[in-house]
Amino acid sequence: MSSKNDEKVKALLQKRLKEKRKAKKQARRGGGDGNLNLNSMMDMMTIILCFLLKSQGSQTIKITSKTDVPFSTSELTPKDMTTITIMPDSLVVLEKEVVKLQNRTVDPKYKKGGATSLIIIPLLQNLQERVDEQKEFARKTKSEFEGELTIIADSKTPYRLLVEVIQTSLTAEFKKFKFAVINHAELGFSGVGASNVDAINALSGE
Amino acid sequence: MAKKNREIEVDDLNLVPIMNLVLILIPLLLLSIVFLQIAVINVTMPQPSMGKPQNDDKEPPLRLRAIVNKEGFILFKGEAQLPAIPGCEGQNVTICLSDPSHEMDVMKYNWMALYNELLKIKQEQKWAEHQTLEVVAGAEITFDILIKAMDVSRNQLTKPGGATQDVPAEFFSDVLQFNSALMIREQVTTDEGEGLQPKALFPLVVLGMPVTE
Repeated sequence: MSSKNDEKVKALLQKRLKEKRKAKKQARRGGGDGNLNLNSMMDMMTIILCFLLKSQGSQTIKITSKTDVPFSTSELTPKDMTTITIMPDSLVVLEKEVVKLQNRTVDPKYKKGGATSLIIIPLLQNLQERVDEQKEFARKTKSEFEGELTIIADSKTPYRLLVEVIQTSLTAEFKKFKFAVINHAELGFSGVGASNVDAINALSGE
Repeated sequence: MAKKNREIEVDDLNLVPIMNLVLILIPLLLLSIVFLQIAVINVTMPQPSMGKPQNDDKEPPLRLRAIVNKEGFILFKGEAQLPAIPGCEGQNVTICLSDPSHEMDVMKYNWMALYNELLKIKQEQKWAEHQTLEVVAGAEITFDILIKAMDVSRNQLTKPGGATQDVPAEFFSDVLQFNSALMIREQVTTDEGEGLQPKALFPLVVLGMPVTE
């Protein structure tokens, strides 16, 4: 009785094993749905990659998420030039930190002649190096030294600090200044001047 | 036989390493990309000089100054301070705050009144060709308020809904309408060719030394 049962089970197991092997063989030959065609996906990926690389290269000014740059209706396009970034906690020239800020003011010990002075000494030294480099470049390429400077400032930067940065740059022979802003022209006037964070706060408050 | 072999080779091109590379590159680039369009505003600032400015002209140059402080705006036409607008009498400013209790500093100011006053000046014949506005702010005034003041004084505006090309600039009496105002554009011929440019109000900004409050 039991041996008859055993034989039945054995036959059933063998039958299942055969079916499994058959399915495996079929999959290996490509007859099943195990093979994925990657060509169209590759095409898509290549297009996305090209687009991203192109838009990455065309940006002349890079804004980090630490600086909250205000919106504006200005439509002037930026050029590639020396940039000063006024972050909430530091002054940065071309991605190199120059002075630390405390409560959005420069420590008087970094200033030429005490707290009331408008000249920030470490910034002046750094900018003079940049000016020397640019003058050398202008001399070699027989072009004119433009003395242009882009200021990327956080929207809560006090006017006093802004004036200090500009006066220091003037002393270092920069002449033309540009404030970097986020273009908002197509949306009219609403929200212009308010910073990103303020705009988000206003939206969530309503 | 050779033909068959070649076919098999093409079939077996292994795309997996390239796919891996692309799959890593795409999120990397997506993370570093900024989808915001950056623009710039030109400003100038004079360096304080020791000597008195030499001026041989008979007429002194026109000067239009806007002082921004915690109480509002003070406008100077030449050396004369403009009187306070209706509703702001008795205060030492030309345009007082419209919403002093607003939690955002930039929304406290009466930008519409500033625009109306500037447009009034622009429409006087003497000032029609004037381009420069001297902006002086208090030491504590923040950058976003400064940018907004430059925005308001840069272009002539018209009410939304109508045409924006070659129409006269309008005064505003409704804040909602002012907030959605549109720039007037005019046909301009430059070195690069013809194009529509915003019609200027006082687009050149000269910054002054901070005023102490």
